[in-house]
Amino acid sequence: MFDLEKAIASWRRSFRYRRVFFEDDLEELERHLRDHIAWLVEQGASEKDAFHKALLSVGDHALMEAEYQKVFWAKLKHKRRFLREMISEGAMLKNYFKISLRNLKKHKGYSLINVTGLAVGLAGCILIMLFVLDELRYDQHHDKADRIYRVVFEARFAGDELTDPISPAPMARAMLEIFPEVEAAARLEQRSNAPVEYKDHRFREDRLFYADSSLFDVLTIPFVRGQAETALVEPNTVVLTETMAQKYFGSEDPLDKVMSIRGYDYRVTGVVVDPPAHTHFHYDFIASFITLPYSENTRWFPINYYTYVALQLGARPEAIEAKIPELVRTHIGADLEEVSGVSYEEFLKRGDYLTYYLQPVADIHLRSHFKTEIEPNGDITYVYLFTVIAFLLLLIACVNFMNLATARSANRAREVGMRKVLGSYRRQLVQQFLGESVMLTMLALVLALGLVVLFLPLFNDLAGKSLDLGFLHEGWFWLGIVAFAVVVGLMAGSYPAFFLASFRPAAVLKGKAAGSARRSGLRNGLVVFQFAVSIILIVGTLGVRNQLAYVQTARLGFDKEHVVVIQRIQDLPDARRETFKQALLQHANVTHASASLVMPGGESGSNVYRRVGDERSFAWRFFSIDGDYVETLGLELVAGRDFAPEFTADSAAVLLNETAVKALGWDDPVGQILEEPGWRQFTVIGVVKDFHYETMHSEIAPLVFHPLGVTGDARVLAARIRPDDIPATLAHLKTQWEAFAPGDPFTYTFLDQDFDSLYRAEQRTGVTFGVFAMLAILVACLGLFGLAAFVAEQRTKEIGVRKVLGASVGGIILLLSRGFLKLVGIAFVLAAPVAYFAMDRLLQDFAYRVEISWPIFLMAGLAVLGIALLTVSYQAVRAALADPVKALRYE
Amino acid sequence: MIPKALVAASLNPIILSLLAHGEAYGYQIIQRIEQLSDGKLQWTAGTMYPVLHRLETKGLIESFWRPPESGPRRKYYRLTDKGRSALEVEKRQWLDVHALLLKLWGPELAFG
Repeated sequence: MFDLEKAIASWRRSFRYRRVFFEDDLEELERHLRDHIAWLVEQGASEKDAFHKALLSVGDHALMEAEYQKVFWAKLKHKRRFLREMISEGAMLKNYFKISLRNLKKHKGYSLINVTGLAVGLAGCILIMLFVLDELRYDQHHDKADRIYRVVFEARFAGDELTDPISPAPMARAMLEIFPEVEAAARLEQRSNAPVEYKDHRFREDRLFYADSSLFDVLTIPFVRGQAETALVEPNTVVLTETMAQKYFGSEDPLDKVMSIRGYDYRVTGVVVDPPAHTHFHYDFIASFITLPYSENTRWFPINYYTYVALQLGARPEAIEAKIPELVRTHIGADLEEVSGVSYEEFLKRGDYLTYYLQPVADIHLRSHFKTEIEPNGDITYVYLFTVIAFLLLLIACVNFMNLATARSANRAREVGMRKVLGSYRRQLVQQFLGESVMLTMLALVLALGLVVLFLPLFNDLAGKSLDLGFLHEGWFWLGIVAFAVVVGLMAGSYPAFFLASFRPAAVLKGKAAGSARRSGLRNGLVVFQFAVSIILIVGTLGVRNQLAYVQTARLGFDKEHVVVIQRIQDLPDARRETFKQALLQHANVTHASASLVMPGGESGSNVYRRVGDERSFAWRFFSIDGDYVETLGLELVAGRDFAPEFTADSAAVLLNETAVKALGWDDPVGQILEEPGWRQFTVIGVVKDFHYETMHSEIAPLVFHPLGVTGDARVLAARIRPDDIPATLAHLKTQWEAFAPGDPFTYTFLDQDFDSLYRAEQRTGVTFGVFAMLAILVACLGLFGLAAFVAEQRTKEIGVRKVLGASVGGIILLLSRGFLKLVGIAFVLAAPVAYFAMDRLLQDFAYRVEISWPIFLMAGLAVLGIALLTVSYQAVRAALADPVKALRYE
Repeated sequence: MIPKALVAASLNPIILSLLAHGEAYGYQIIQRIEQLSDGKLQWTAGTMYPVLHRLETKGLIESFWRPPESGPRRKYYRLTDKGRSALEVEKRQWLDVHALLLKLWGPELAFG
């Protein structure tokens, strides 16, 4: 009996092993055959006849092969491109996934090392990127952010370069009236330590500003209550932030209430939102500028207010800057003549100049480092430095990933060979391994995010930031991070993927894949790179620490230890100040006390001096001190005498430091006359040995000491105390303060801490370097650990044979470690010069610095060598101690 | 019967022209052509399918599987935009040849 199904099946079998027919070709042909048979049966033929007749018209493989052969290659190419193939790849995808998971599970240690290394690298990188993004966000929140500028003063005055971001009182109005490009201009002045009072709420406020009402046309400061247009128009009006409104008024409505600020009544005309964290200008109170006594001053000196301008849309700052010389000539020339004593033409002729330029507001945080910034700013150098470190860390982590994956490839060579024999295309294999790599990266990413959340508080401490987890709610973050992971996955997986996919199946299946010289060459190169980066980071860490240790222990010329600095004594009248001082000295542990305008490391003022009758004058820093300052700070008097304790007698006397004497060219300075050009004259009564009154970033400059009251009044009181029972001494100081200044908080600092805090940026760099160097080493070691394990495994048999033939354990450890140690050596040779130049560049900011000495390099090299040795030797010892019998049975 | 060479040469334009009227599967195409040519043009599956596949790789037609009312699924072919413009070119060429032949067979042509 004829069975149609059997007949068709046997017809179809004749196509088996004919590669020119694809599976779906046969399906199509079979359907055709069936259609034809069905038609013939319909015409009355028997199934058997119909089958044979249809077969004649369709044909078997022998008839068709030649025709199908003609299009085989074209179809092959076409199919790869199209969906059809993708459908069958769906099944493959499942298989890839399964194999990947199996691989992960089978080599748990390797997977752990690989994923951990990448996660640590990624976490470090994410943290740094958060920091960098945060730094770059400053002052971008203003509506006119890209056209707001601060006016900066720049001049050469009597040969001295002066520059500060401040302008005289008439500048804002002049800008607005003279330059059509200026849309709005406003002046700003900061007052710190201002007593503020409302009913029984009494505090000292540091973030009090005076500003023109036009400030709200320049900067974006949204009002919660009141009108921006009218808020600061009248004298004695003030707007405050929501936080301050809460602090002083609680649930009351602050609008139109009267509060006392610096002893005067101010009417509250508005409440504004708190300033964002990312701004160079944090305010609590903004009072009307017109309240200030000199607000309507039309003279162009003194130069003492911040001036902000917003330009018209499309206006260029260069256009205004080009017109500044004309403004200086026509408006400032006369005032300048009065101040400098020469006509503007002569002023220019002797090489001096005076100008103003516009500084973009967005640049202030990272690129502005004037002496009179509103707040300490960040530094673009650190942004760059951090970015480079993040990149290096990521690179090391990726390199690790690549290295381990290629190393493992020997073990997967058979899988690749098998897949190729079974018809995998190279492209499919590349896809498989890239996919695996991306999957591992995603896993690492999850881990990394966990680490970021865990370590963010620590990082905030380190970087002096207050980054929060808000970014976790941002779509862009997730988009970015996933894109980032895919890119890293592709990057890290690319080499192993292409490398594995290019295996020759025949060679692989014969077992020849492992360890070709070219491949291990690349792997070694990557290891060298990792360790070179680690060494550079370690040298950076040690170098910065060395420099900090140097500046902190260097002989400063005064004794900064055990000096308590009591702040804000300016409110005590002179007579009471003196009795307060005497009261402090009553305590046995207070040995000296001195009132002064400023302590070393603080911000001193400058003044113009010259030898009496001389043409040439100098702009020098000055200190205002009392008769106990020199002794209290342990300064050394090298000639003449100190100020008399009864300082009023010495009001026409000055002390100089050695550098000042040298600059004036006096061999015998005592008794010489110094003058403020065209004003007061001072007799030099003594010379103080040079001391570092600024940081080690700058060289010691000339310094003039005046008695208090001549150029400035006392603001701080320094008390030298004995090192024993400091709490009791401090309690005594506090009790005395409260007796003399009831109601005012007692604020004090220690001079050594104040001085050390001047190097906060460097300390931060040092710690940051340290932490990231550690991360880099950790990641590199994880990689090395994996590699060593791999090498030991590869050489199991060799080690077995060697042991059987009598090799010692030590010999085998040496054999296994030698290669890696050589790599560390090469890394050291490559890293040393790079590290040297990087350090040189980094410490360039210091006028006084330590030599970058070879012990640092030696230490860095030895540290890395030691760590590498420790890492490798664990595996080496394990391999060396293994039972050779087992090793030889292996495989 | 039409000789093999001419059959081979006319395969492309005929398939494209037929598919210009709508989608069809292989067996359908053979049947339709046989009907339309009154049995003068008989293609074998072995000739036609490779041609269909080649046209597909060139992107002139595209294929898709569709389950019928009964029995196993069938592979259908339809013209792409690229195929449509290729057909226009092909059509002009065949018409040119056709016009030339008509002229050559016409009575009024004389060599002068």
